[in-house]
Amino acid sequence: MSPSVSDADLSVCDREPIHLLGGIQPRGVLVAFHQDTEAVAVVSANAAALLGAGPDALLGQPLSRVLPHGLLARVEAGAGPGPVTVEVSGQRCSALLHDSDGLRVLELEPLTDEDAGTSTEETALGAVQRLVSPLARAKGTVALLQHAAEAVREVIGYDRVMVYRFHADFHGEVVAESVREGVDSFLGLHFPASDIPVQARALYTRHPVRLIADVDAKVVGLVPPLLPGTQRPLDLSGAALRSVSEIHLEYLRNMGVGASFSVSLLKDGQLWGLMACHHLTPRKVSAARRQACEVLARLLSLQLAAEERGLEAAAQARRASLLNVLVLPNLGERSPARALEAQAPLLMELTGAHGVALVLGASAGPDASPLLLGSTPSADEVRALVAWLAERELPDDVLHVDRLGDVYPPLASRADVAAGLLAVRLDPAVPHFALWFRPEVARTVAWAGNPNKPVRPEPGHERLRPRASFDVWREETRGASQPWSLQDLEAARALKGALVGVVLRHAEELAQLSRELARSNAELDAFGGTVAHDLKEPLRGILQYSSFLQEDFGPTLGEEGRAQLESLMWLAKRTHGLLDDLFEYSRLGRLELSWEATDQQALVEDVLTTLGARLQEGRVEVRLPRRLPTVECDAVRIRQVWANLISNAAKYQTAEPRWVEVGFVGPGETRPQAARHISAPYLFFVRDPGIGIAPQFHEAIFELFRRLHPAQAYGGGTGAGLAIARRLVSLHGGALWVDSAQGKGSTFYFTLGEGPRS
Amino acid sequence: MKPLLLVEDSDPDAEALMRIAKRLPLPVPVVRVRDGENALDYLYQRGEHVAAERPVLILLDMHMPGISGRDVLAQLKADPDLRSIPVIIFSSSLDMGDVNGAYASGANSYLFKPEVGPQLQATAEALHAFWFKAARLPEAQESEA
Repeated sequence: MSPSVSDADLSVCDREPIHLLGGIQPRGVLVAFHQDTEAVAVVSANAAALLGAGPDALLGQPLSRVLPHGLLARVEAGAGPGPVTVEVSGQRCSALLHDSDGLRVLELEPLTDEDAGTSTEETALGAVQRLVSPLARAKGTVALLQHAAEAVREVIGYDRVMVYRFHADFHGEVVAESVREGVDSFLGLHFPASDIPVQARALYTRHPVRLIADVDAKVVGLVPPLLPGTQRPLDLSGAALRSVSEIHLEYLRNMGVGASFSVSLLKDGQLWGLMACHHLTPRKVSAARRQACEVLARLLSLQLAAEERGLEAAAQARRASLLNVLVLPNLGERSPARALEAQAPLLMELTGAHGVALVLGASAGPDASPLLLGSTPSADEVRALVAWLAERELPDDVLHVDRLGDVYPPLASRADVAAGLLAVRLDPAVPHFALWFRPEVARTVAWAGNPNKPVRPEPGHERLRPRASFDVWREETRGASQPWSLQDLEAARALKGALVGVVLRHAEELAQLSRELARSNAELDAFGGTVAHDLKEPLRGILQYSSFLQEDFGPTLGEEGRAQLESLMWLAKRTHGLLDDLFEYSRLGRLELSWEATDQQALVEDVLTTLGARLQEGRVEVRLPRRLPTVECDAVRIRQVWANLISNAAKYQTAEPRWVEVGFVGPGETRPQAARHISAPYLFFVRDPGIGIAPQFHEAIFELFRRLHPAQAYGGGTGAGLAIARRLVSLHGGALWVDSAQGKGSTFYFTLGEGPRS
Repeated sequence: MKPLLLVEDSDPDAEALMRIAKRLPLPVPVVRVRDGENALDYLYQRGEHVAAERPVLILLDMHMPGISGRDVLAQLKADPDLRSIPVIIFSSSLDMGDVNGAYASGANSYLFKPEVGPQLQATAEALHAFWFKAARLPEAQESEA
């Protein structure tokens, strides 16, 4: 009848000196002796069973009198810490030797018939073979762990082999398992960190293998119980026969376990997990098999490390590519906010969150709706959270919590979606955030096992059961999410960096554009100023002297001379005109429009009055089928547009009858095909049946000085008119385009904006 | 005889105006200087213009290398002795900023330098008709030597 264990005992678990319990398991004999004299210093109380004499007779004796001749030498010659099979009192035993408290400690374990007869190397080798086979490697971590569990079960023949994995908070999870038919499964079980207390974890890190061959076995004491030098029991940390904590035994008994064997899984020297093996009845595992399992575990650890590094590298690469996708350089048309919104699913993946909220650009502000994706709190809750976050100092602009409710009570009740928050502030100036949410971890974990049936119901220690462990762990993690890993934080920071890069690049692009604009404006200004004077002046000079020539020598020049002089003056005037147009065009960008309700009918009539003589001369009929409406615009500028379009329409006609139609399409009226995409209320047009424009020139004609005809043809325009007209229309927020085909006439359409563009 | 002072850096423009003046004819001689520095020297009777006659009217080009027409104008209009001489800006700039700036600096009128040929003739005739027929020019403050 084992002493009962209370919850209070559980709480002192962490302080129990489990390496100094001063006892061993009865499956073997321990002899500790002085290095120099080989005199026996400590011996286990059960020594007589194997050594033929009790502790009193053995203590102080040289080892050579206690053990068969040459045994120690053979053990010492054994390779490394591995067991050496020796014969003691007619029994085949495995011998292990290690140092502790300045003494040499020899442990002898009689071999079972099973072990004595066969070579364990083959079994072990087979298991190792299986573990490191390409098949196992190819399938990823879970498959690898599964293989390991099966390999270990094959080596030791236990009923259940589990692979525990410790999480960052040291709570454990059963991630792989191999069980004999009919034995309860613990797969998916989570247990609190306290189930394997700190000092146990420390011990497991230093000494990777533990065997409890029989949970009901009586602990065998050591003689003397305390070392004379230290006044405490011999330190048994390194002893294979070390007895274990009664609490642990109780736990095992409650689980219906008769024997337990575990091997540590270390990764980079840190305890990563355990291979925990249970047998429902007592069962020994020979030192050789234990060693085989240890080798397996080391191999597995190496594999895991490689595996994890591979996974990390893959995740890193994935994140990098996500970031790449997120920060595609095609932001010409899109703000960073829009680009991000388009990539929201990738954003979730970035940190392994269950929900993302984006609060930036159009989705920021007290009235805007944050962009929500996946499982998140409501828009109102997110807005409130952002307001709270905006007030806080965030080191590195990042906040990560796995118990949001503790720091931000308003969301304490929303652990279902927002137990964990990873927030990254994207802009120091405005409260723009990327928020990742994770639900309560317990909600994401289900454990189907039912080891709750009390195997040996004893009042007072219901706690010592897996179900209780699971419940404790669930309770402990209530309101907590899976913690954010370093990688998650890195990804979030990288995203922020990338975003800031994007935002900056966006700003940089804008700045670059405005710099270029400013420069080209300045250049145009300078050019304008130059045009206004320096370039035009020589032309004026040419004109002046040509006119002096005409005045003074005209009569004597003769027909040909006068014609040449005329050509000279025409060229000079034309160049002068080009420069004037260019100057005007250059000033358009800095034009301040003066918007007013303008009667387009009056505007067009005014234009027709001005063009009257030219229209009559070309015998062009102007058709105004209906009165034009009154719309908001800068009358002076739009008059210029009408004038340009109407005079062009009149100009580019050869066949009779010549006409120009000026009209509009009003709100709700059927739009022509060429204007079906236009949403502006009024669509104005100028139509002519003239020479038309081939489609490939439909845009070219709007380029400055782009001409389709010889300069002297069709009244010799400079080619600036349409460029200026388009610029004026677009300053109004409208568009100007042409619908035409060669020889089929042309229709120029334009729209006007809704008023001054801020 | 008090002249009309023509401040014009462009030779062909100056020559064209002189030709027109000769044809009209203008009642006063035309004296031409080719930049702002010479204009000021002339008005203050400095350097080679020590013996310069005070003009009755100044025709001033705005865009000139060195001291611009605007500088000359500002200096004249800030001088109590010279500010009464009417200054007509004769410029190829249509920029309203230039126009407003000229009046703000005290210009008496602003003429756009028109295209060469008939328009220039017409402008010169209008100038002549207004300033030498319709308008009264200020008397010179100092007696003639």
